[in-house]
Amino acid sequence: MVTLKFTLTPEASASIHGALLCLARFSDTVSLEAKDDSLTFSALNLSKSAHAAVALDTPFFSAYEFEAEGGHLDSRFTCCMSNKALLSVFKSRNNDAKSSNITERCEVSFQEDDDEAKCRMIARNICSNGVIKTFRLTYESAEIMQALFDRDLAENKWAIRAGFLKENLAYFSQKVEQLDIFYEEGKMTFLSFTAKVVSAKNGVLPVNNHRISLLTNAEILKMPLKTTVILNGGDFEKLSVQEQLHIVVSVKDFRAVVLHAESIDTVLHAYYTSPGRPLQFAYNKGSMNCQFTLTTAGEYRGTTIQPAPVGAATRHRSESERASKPPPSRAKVMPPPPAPSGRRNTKTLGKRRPSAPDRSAETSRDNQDEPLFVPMENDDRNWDPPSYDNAEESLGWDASEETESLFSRQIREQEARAAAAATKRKEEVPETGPDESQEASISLSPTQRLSDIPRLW
Amino acid sequence: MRFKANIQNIITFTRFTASLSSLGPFAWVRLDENDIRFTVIPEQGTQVWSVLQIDSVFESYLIESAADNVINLEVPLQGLHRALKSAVNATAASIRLTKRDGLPMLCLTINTTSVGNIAMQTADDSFAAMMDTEDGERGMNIDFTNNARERETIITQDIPIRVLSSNSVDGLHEPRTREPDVNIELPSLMQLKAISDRFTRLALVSKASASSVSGATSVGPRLELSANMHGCLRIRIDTDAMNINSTWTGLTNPRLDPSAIEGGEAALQNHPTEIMRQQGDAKGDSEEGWAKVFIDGRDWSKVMSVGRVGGRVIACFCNDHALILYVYMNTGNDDGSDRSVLTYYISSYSN
Repeated sequence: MVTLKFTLTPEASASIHGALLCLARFSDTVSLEAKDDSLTFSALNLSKSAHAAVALDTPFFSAYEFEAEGGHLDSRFTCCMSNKALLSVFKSRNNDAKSSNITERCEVSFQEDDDEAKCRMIARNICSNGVIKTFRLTYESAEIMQALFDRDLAENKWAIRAGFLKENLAYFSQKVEQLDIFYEEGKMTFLSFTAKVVSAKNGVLPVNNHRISLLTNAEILKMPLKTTVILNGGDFEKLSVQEQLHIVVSVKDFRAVVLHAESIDTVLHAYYTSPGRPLQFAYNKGSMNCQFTLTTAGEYRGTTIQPAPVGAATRHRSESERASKPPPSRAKVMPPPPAPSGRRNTKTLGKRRPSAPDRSAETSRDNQDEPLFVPMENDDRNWDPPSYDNAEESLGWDASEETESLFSRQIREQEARAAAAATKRKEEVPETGPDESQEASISLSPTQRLSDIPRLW
Repeated sequence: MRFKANIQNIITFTRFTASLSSLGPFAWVRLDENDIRFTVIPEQGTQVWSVLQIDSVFESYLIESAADNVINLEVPLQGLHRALKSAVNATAASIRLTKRDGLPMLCLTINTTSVGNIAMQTADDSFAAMMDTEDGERGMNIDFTNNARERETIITQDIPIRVLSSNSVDGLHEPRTREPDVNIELPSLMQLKAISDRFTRLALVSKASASSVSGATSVGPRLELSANMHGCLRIRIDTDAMNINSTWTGLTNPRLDPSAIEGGEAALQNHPTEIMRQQGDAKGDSEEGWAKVFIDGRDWSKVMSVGRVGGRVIACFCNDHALILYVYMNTGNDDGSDRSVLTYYISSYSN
């Protein structure tokens, strides 16, 4: 019988929410792995080229209880579930000043009912004023993939404040795909480029001298910008990298990593050996340890011969280990349910289905307080041609729509009432004489539909 | 073929490219020893022909080519604008023509110093030093001078371009129009844009409700723009449902320079603008003396985007024929003699 229960402070919930947002950039589903001393959220992307894991050590939780089936020491509990569903559980609503329901803590427990086919995670957000919001999410037990990576064997390492990287990330064009990272003459270079370009006539083409003639002129000009950001070695916290070693990762993944690392204000570490072997980005904040293992491409472009690997035998072993990405993962048979704590209480108030976060407030139009004619602020965007396509702007005044609909509803109600009356009378017709039915028709309301009238005769 | 320059007025250049990119995706850029010309000729709508004085955006300008030191390029405006935008906080920026993997590129090199980046360890140290001793300056001196030198970041943006042969641009000529009937200096473009955008919206909405009855029509909303030689400008929409107009009065009608006109002072007397000056009045009440054009509301809005570069705008109305706008850029370092000008050619629709 497996017991997995933990309690989170609002800050910890928010941290998990942030981490889940980051994992969502890799995959829609998130895998959970519980151990004695940690709980890990992880995501593997569809092409299995990137594995992201966020491990939370027990100090992260206000309370953490895990008891494996049969009480084995190194046993684990694994499952996977929808990232979106989890996000709504941990979404903090405490920033909303209007809300009086401040979440005080979040209690999560896992249960599997043998009788039912559903595995459930039950999260209770205990708020002020005695409000309890209960989320019941289904999960499925699953084998989870793990990326093995031995940092000690990585020859190239660097570390930099994530905030600094994020500043520079803004320079990369949105459309670029690849990021080449290399070290040269005391400077670290991040080069974003596009390896393929879509041609209307010839489909997807790799960008190189020979194929470029197949592109039309307009297609050449539409290629995304190639951006290079060169950082001084001194900007790094730690830098020990082989010169001229080009390592290429996906910009999308890199962006996801940097944005999350920046959001928790930490130092980002990178570990890698050589192109073609995995690269790992890692950072931690308190009891949260994040690891992103990415496949790489690239080449060594130095003039000198690549230094012979030290200890080839051991290296070989470790490489094969690292190269095979999805190694030991065992499916755990889901154990019987742990009795969720305080289950009775959930019936009192907070028995609500997890609802999608209310986004209407966020998406409210930002030009609500727009002056009548001339925009006040000196914003450069004011000069852009407006998009006339949105149907928001309409003639008339705001109230009109509402009164109109109210009016039409009244009409419809009257019609319905009249129709009901008509059918009622129609039913009565056989019982009463024809004279009386004629009398009834006289008393019909003037909103009677013409189509209803013939039925009366 | 060589082209290299330092960009000295990044904000101006960025705004300039933003204005152009609202008209079309690509620009023909002609670089020579005297000036830089950006021309946008979209498939439909307004053309813009602009001349930038070299020193209004560049310094240490170097150009060399086999064709009399003239270089013709086709440049994606979005890309150029994006690249320039990453240079807004730059301490220095330069641009040069180069080749990468066989492809011609405009390479923008940007030096920037990052404000936020003090290596964490040293920041903590200096903080500790400040806390430990009252003499915080000592700690600051050591760490910050050291970091200031190292914090510089270099960014390069490669913009894919096409080099045009002189043959391919020989056929491009600036439009020729007849002498204008009215010259007038436009009011604040922010005002004009806001009102014409509002009018265009109204026209679109009234049309949408009308077309639901009578079937859709393909023409865009038409704005009627007119001006007289007594400082009046009027903008109007006239649809089945409504007729709205806004009139500005008290604007300036710049005088023509006799030396710029064939025939000099004598010819000036017979110039269409002088004839128009004899009609109309300063309040704009009279129906006489107006030169008017019909323009596409959406297209006009794209033109109005040029307001971001600032500066004086002179509109020349050729009645029922065309509207030409001369936008004199505020480059900050002009002394009034040689200025950078954007010329917009907007043709009038018949109504």
